[in-house]
Amino acid sequence: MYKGFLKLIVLMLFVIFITACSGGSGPGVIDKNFKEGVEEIEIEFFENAPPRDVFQKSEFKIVPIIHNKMGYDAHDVTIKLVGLPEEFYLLQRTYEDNIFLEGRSLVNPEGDKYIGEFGAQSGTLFSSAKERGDNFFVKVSYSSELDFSDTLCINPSLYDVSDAGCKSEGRKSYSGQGAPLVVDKLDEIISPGVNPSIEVRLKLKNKGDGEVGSVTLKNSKLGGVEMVCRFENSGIEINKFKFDKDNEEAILICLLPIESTQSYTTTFVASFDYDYSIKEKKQIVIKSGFD
Amino acid sequence: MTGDASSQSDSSSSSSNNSTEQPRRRLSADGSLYGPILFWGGLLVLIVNQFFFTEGLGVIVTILQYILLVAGALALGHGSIVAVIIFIFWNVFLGGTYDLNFLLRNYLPAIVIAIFFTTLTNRFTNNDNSWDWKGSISAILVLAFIFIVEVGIINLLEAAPIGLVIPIEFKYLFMSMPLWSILGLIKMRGGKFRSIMITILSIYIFIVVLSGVGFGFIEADRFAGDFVDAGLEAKAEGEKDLPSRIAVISGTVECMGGIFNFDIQNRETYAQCSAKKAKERQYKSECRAIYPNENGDSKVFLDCLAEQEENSLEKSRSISGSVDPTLNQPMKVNLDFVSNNINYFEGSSIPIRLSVENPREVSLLVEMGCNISNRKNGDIATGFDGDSKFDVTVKKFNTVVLCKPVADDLAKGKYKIEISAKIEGIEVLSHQEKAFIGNFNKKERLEKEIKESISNTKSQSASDLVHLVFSLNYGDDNDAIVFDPITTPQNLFLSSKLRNVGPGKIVNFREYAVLVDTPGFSSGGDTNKKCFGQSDVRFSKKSREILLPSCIIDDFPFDLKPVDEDVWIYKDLRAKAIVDYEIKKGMSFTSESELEEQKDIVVNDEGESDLIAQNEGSENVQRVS
Repeated sequence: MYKGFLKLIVLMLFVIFITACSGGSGPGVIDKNFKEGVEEIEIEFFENAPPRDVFQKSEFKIVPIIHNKMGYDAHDVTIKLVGLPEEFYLLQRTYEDNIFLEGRSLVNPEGDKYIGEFGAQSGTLFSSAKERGDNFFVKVSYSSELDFSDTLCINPSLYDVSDAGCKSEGRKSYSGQGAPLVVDKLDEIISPGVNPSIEVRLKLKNKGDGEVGSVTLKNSKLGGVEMVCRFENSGIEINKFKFDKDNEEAILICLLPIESTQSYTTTFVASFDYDYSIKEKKQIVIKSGFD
Repeated sequence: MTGDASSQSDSSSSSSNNSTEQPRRRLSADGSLYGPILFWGGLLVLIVNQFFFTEGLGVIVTILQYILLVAGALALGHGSIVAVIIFIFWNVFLGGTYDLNFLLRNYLPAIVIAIFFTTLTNRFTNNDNSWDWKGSISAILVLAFIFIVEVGIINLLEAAPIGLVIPIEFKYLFMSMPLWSILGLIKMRGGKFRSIMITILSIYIFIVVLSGVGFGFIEADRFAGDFVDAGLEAKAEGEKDLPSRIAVISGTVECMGGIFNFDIQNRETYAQCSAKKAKERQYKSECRAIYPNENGDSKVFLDCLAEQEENSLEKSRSISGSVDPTLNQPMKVNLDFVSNNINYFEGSSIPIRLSVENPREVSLLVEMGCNISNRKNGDIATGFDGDSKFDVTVKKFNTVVLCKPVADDLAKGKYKIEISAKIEGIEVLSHQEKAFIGNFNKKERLEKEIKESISNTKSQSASDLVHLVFSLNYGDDNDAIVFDPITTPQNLFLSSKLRNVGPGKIVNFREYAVLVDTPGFSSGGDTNKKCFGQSDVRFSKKSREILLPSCIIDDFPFDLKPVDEDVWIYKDLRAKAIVDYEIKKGMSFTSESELEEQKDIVVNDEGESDLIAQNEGSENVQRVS
């Protein structure tokens, strides 16, 4: 009896301990790194705005909710309504611009939300039509940043067996940096010799649901020293790359001479500006009357 | 496996004298409970199947069939419940699959569960653990036969890779039999009621067998054509002519299996499955109507099914755009003589029937005309009794007008009468949806989303007497995209035509206007801008298709050239034409004194009468439509 009771107490304490460890739910404790994974701006619609069905010559609203879930701020956010024929819809406006949406951070863990409002009036159906359905798009375009950092091992004396320092990992892969545009892979290539140098190759990829416009390298530093970088297949502006259907990945090549002869670890950072656009499809049906 | 006892089916062998076991035995051994269940249940299923069948009731009937199957197994005993449970498990839980690998992987637990339930059942119903193999096999065969016939899964069996072919007559015959009820009567205790029911059922079976066909099933879907021998043709016929209610039931059985499908990723809900089956039935029925003599698994038939499915998907995809259920309902104006044999007497008039089908309820001003003439005197002044001008705004309009000579009499002789209905100011509307994107370079990027929005790129016109077809494209009418002419050397071509699809003639082409409501289009080559519209159009009245001036568009309004990379303008371009239309009909007649000389006349729909034969004494007037 006593032993059984004791076992029960121990079990209860164990449960309390486990619960306490895994608890801390809610926004109170934030230890999340917002600059990881693939996050992007999301477009939702306010309930019943637009309504699924509208009658002829009736007023309604289209209310998109733009939610910045990225770990970065979004600048120059523009919301556009596209794909509603003016013969059937009279829109008070078709775009809203100059919106700023703060990204997720310790002080704003949810990220900013913007509620747009587009007033509209349905027109008259063609001839004897009973209804008309229209798929339209809410398109959001914005500018944002991407920061990347990692610790690299610089080992210029590859064949020196006496150097017991770090070892270069060659290729590294990453899941994302809290934005739709991600640094997917990093290649570290050391050129040993009398004047050793390091080449860092970054592969940037769009893992979001939208489209990347152009990417501009702001800076890239290895151990605080600016590297000389260029995008592969770039135009005249070597630090700029335009994504399109034929160019869905960007390769950034950065070079730097290595002064030390011994291996050491140091931090590589790179930051980018980019344009992005994303869209969400919605449907409205104009009806001539009740079914 | 625990066996059942032969004592279950043999009441004489229920030898226990222990009064405490009596309730158990009542449940099984003498069939006193299962007999009535089978009898009444079977009767209910038969009646519903034959007379009150609906898709909703199909589910209930199917469940009832399963209950009857279990009741039959319990009534027959001999461990047949094991087979029944295994069968139900296979059919319901495993979706009636014939996939051997799947069966091997999943069947073992089914058998374990079946044995478990059988053990419980046998313990509940009987204490005898002996196993009668012959009895078991007989019981299973009886149950399998009844269930297969009653549930209508014969066609499923035929679909199985065992090469089974069942002539359709047998299917109908068996499906009209109250097999569960017969089994119920056999298992029922003797008595007056049982004797009466046996007599009634015997008469019923006698009638059904004598008539050689099943009742309601034949009514619903008797297959046409000669029924050729058995073999593959019979199989195809069987599939094609299985009554829809049977298809519904077998579909229900399959769908019930889907609920318990272990394959979570591929499993579908009953509603999804049921909707899918209903669609499949609809496609089959539509294809059967198109290819009545085609084998169910022939390439032509399968292609037809695929096409039907594609059409259905197309319809669901094309939810964008206007939906006008009346669009394919043609406007019809019919003009007819009430009598085909006119005998004119002094003071009488000639009745003419006008009927208009106006599904879109557009306003039509119809003016009737009547002209009587003969060779000697030429045209004779005529008039109408009552109204001869009608403003038709309703869906269906029928009236009769009376044409008569003003002089109230006709001199003796042969006459020709020509009647006409002139519809004035028919407004023909047409529209076409286009996406104006601005710079040509945006095309590749925006093409996909434009296709999601614009499903029909061709000009659409209601099914009226006259169609206005117009087109703004670069040579491909399926492409909705229009770009700034400055950004590409491609020619943007605007063309239009008026097509007479009615029974009469366009007598006056008052005006047309293309790209109406969208001003600002220009064409350098068409200085008079006739491709955009004109009034009082000259045309050949005999022509069924009037080609209107076409042109190359060299510029259009700036607001249709969006600069923004993401933006395109959705335009519903409109065109309209206004015409007067006339339908004529004619025939010959004689006055009363010359009836003996009447001739056979052929009157065509254009209203031009042709004398084709001289037929003394005949009073017939033939019509050719």
